[in-house]
Amino acid sequence: MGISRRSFLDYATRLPAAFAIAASSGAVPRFSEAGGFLHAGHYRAGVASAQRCLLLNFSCVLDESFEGYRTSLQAAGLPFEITRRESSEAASFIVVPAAALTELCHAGWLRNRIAAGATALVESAGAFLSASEFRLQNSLVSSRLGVSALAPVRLWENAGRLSNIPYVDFTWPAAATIRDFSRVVPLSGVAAQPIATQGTRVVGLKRRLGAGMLVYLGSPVGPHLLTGDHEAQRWFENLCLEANRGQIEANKSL
Amino acid sequence: MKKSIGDNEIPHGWSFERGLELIKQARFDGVELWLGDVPWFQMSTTDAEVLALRQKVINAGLVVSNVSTGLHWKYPLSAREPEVRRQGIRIVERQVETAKLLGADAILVVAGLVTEEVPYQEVYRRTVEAMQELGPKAARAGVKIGCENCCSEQKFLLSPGEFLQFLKDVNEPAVGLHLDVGNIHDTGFAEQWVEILGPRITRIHLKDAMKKRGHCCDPVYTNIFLGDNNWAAIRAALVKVGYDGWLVAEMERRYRFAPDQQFYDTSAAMDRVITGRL
Repeated sequence: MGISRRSFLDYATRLPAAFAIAASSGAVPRFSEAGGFLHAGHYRAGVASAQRCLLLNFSCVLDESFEGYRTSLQAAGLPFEITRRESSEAASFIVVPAAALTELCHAGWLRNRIAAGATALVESAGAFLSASEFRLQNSLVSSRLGVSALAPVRLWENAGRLSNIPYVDFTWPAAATIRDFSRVVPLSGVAAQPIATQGTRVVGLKRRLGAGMLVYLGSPVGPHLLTGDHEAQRWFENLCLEANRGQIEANKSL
Repeated sequence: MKKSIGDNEIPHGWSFERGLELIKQARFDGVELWLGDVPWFQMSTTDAEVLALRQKVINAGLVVSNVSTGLHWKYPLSAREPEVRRQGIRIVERQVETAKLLGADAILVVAGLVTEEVPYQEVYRRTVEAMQELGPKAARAGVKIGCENCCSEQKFLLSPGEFLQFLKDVNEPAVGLHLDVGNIHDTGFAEQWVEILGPRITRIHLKDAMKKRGHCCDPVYTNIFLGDNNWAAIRAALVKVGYDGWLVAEMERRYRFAPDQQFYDTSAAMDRVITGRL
């Protein structure tokens, strides 16, 4: 789905009232009781709690990826909460940048949230983990989220070759060409649909889990959000819209 | 202006003390110490050993003009890998620490390295952030961080206007430019860098460049007066902006024979630049 920035902003302003109220509240960020960090856009459970967005720091190994998503969510005016641990509150959109998903409770929590109707963007930090951490993450992600990863590939080992094309091609939710981040994690998944490829490798996919949707990336997008890559920003904006659309559909089916 | 030369110019196989003796005999005022580039000054060198180096410099009748390093080619502050960036930061911190121990108030940093893999837009942001983190630390130690213009090798901050904007974005008084007048090659003119960035210059590397011989290969660099730099214009610009600090010789090409002679020749050439006998 392609959408212009103008359309996105227009759409965002028509999100449920709680979004707008929260986004315009101008509240000073503060720590939440759950150990998280509340942002201007945070709002308490209410009429629109289904549209709640969580930015999760599950042992994020690339700070700039986390910052990229944070600034993009902020720029889009979407209310979100930053937290380091599982939240007990409902969330329609969950973003997990550069995650070292090596704890069973995290993976299980994510699965339950997605199954309940959330859209989760999980960015694998697999390429930046030790071999043992990568094996553990792969095992958890495979068993809980149905996504398998091959060993990370260093794309620039033969730097200087004319054949090096430093881009990942995304096809969903918007077509986008985004720089690689030196290493990619090839992916496969049960009943999964590829959404991003680097050459012949699938490095991004989506799959339905219960009432929700998992979007799993083997090539980080967050750092490119931080550098102002327009295609990366457009891709993420479209994903935000998809998450909202998915939640509306999930609500209808309840 | 005072004359200095790097301890990495000391002929291979010579001791630090013997090298200092040569530097003094060649009528330099100081020595630039290169962290990680010479056996006597490594990241593992202890504070006590650094202080011993300082004593040797004093014993030779010299002072330490500044602390430089080539380690950031391997550990760029702009690397994608957080671990590499952290090591790059640690290297700068150690430079600041050792500069203070050595009685110097400036260090040289190769800040940011653009490659085919790691693009400019990432390098710029990370480098600004790194300098914003390091600037206050350096200021507290009374040390200036001079980011060197390795234009062709870094593929970064290629013009004086760009460099000025970078320093404005960093916005840390302790972060400035370590100008290398030989590194500008065919992308500009050293004297214009001096004019535009004058008050922000922390130190100046002197060498000459053969502008028509390539961009970044060894043959491009040569001894002072053998290349295409306009030394009269460079000197005039230095006078205009009131630069009265250290000039540090960086001879990238070594004499194949009589290596000590290069020290005397370089020192004499620097005297001519300083006094304007050109």
